Amino acid sequence: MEKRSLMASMKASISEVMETMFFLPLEFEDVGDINEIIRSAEGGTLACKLAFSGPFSGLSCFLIPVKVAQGLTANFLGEDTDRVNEKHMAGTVKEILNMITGKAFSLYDNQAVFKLAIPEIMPSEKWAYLVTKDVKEAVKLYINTADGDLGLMLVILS
Amino acid sequence: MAFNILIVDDSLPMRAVIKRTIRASGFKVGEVLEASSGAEALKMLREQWFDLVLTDYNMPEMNGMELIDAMKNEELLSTIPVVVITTEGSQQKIAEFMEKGAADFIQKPFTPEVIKQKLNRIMGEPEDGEAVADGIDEGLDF
Repeated sequence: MEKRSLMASMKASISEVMETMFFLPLEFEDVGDINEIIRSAEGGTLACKLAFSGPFSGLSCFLIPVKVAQGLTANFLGEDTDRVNEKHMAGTVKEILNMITGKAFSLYDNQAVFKLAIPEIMPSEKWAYLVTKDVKEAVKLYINTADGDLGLMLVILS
Repeated sequence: MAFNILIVDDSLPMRAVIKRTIRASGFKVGEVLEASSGAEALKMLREQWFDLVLTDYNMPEMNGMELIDAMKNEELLSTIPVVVITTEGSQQKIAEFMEKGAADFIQKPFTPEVIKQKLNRIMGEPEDGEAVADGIDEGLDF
């Protein structure tokens, strides 16, 4: 697994997903602490994980402030923000992670087959515990958008 | 001619965005209905005629490929074109979709332009450029 190439694929993927599907331009911050998003987001955060297996296996994880998720979901559904509920937000966040992960792997190596599981919402507090001693490698991205900051992490387990 | 489409995806937001994108694309759409699982899709397909099915690949219980298999086993459903909408981008997986009988695949994220181009091709509809050319030909035909 080439970390630099994987990170470049993840950046290209998240840019394409957010700009194509949500019209949300973004920038990457090299020094941002993703845990800070959990601490500072007004209204809390939503976290989502997606297990994958293939040439290497692990978890893809996405962190987003609830307020940003609400806006993106309203945009996605074509509804007003006040008509968006938690189930809608969870569905949108899962779909975002699914698209980002699938696209990133196809950009990284379109000859390799990665099997993606069904995305799951997880408690944001668990984010800090995803990188344990069993983790082989972790690729983290801190993302700035006009609506709020987002976090993306690929945890390689084997 | 407007085409009746069935969208199959376990994600409600994704079904909504596919529906809006198809309508925004300018593809000739009639009725667009939604199913949240492969089983629900099969039930709807047995009760009503659809010209085209757009299905997610990665769904719990029955995935998009299993839905295609089930449709191929029923004479009335076996000729309905199925387009797989997927995050999968590996050449091997795409080849597998096509071998199984998918009419085409659309990789997420997608744009209205890609949707229209793929659906027009599958349904034998002229591309925008061709439609203009046809119009010019008609004008000169005397």
